[in-house]
Amino acid sequence: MPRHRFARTALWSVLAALPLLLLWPVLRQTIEGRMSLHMLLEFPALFSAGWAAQRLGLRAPLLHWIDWRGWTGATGVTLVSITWMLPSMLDLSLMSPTVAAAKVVSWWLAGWWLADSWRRLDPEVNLFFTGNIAWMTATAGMLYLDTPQRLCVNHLQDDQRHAGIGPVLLAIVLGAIAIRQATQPAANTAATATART
Amino acid sequence: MRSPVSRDQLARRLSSALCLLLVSAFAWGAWRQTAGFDTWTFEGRRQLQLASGDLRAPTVAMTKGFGNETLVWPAGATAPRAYLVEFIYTRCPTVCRTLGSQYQQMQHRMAQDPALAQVHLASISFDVANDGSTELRQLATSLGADPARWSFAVPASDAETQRLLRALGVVAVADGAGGFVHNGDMHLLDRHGQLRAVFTLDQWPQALAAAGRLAVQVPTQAAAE
Repeated sequence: MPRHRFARTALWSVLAALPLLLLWPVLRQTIEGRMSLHMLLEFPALFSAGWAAQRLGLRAPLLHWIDWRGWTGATGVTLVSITWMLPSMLDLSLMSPTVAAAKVVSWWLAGWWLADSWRRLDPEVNLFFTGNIAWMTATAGMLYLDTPQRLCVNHLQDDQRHAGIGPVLLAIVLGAIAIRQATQPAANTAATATART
Repeated sequence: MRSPVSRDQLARRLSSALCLLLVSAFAWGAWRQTAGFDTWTFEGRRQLQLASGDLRAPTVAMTKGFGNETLVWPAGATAPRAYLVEFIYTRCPTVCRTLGSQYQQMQHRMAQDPALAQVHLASISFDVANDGSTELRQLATSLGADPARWSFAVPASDAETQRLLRALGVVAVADGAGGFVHNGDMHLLDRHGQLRAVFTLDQWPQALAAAGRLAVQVPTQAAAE
């Protein structure tokens, strides 16, 4: 196996195994006890683990039948993102084992699915999808920053402000990705078009 | 003559249907979760549950610290008809001290007003690891609590504490310095353990008045049943 391929496989394997760390109660309590770590570390880790699993070869052969040009993946990821930005859902994920399990599964599945959908999205849909998530993330971040009272009963007020900065920064990054995707040369777009359907 | 549906067309139709299904399921779930897109926080949901009478204290094993009442719901037929419950921990340097001072004022008023004879004050600790009957008794003594009007207790275990707090929508968060961040609300419970109202720190006169009214109402309701 070439060296760079081995390194890539090792990286995907590490990312895929990240959620196992949540089985360590002390670490999980530390991460979920802080709103900033909960939203900006745990969620991306779960998403990345799903993405990595897809890259490692965990694929569903019939996925293309129900994910035409990445539509279903993009829709699912958008809905998952909205769901876990709601303050009440953040609280419930810390108070109900069922909701906590739903959180883990949904973020993992979102990453797993989008890893396949991403390459097949048309540029226009990609721009809409990424831009949509960017403004939603920015709105949630601004809300966490500006609201004078605690939005989540399980998190402290100071940490809510810290957690608000992350989504705003993430929205800027997503916005940049959306613009880059939209303005990339047509030749590249044509070259990837064959893989879309 | 209709041409056969191509593989691409079928995939597009299936995907469209699935997207529609996902969005519909999400909209339905969000509608339920936010009570018609009206409330987005846990506290907002708690207020709605309170208004609809869905919050009720479960029966949990309690370690008695001080006072005549064991603070277990549903309470017996001879128990007080209304309880004003606060959730505290004895090492608390802030909110609990203020609450204690207001409970002292309420106790004083209860002693003067016979109409409040069926109202009982309850201080329940959620710090099972550090609060036992000794600590609660010391706190009660330092606050000048009258055992006939004011009782102190702590649930028998962490699990029992969480069961009680969750059922009433109360959350205490570790502050990272050995203490807790928690609300300083007063919870008005009837004899059956149903949460009837929640009052903020500075609303103790209103809380006491509501408890007095509840103490009169409960027998009437019971008779109607």
